Amino acid sequence: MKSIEEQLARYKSVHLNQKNINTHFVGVPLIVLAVTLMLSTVAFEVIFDDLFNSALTLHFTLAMVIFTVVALYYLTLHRLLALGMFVYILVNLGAAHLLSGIEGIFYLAIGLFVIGWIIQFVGHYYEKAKPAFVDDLSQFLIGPLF
Amino acid sequence: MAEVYFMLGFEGDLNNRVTSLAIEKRKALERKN
Repeated sequence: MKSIEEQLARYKSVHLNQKNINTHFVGVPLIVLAVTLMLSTVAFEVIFDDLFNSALTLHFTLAMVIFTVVALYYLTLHRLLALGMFVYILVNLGAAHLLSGIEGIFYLAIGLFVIGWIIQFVGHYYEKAKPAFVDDLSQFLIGPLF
Repeated sequence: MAEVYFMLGFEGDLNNRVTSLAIEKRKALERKN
């Protein structure tokens, strides 16, 4: 597995222009929120019967499951950065929970996703380099970490 | 997240290592293209 230095350096090698970095400070959070919102529309329950003479129902979303796995991956790369990412992921999951009641949230998420990527590509126009994921799909996970 | 940490002055060594490696990689990329 690639080290944190290797992963961040690979990402940063096509994000050296300050204008590009600035666009990513807007684009990446929009995309992460959009993905969280989309994945939060898939919900399921786990019911524990007869647990201490009562039933316990836990509510999960696909976003919770996937971002838990992603957070564990960040933990393998760098503990202090993973701590910041845990907080960031929790804020996103909380926002998705709050927004989940809005009608047409999935379409709003798609809109945010598209706007986020447009902002990213404007940044790469200034950078004059293609996005990192073009050569390495794992860089999708490094964008938020960067 | 890492850029925020670096701006706040955390993980300066990691920032230096990542930046120098990133510049090397960019130069290699530009030589290739």
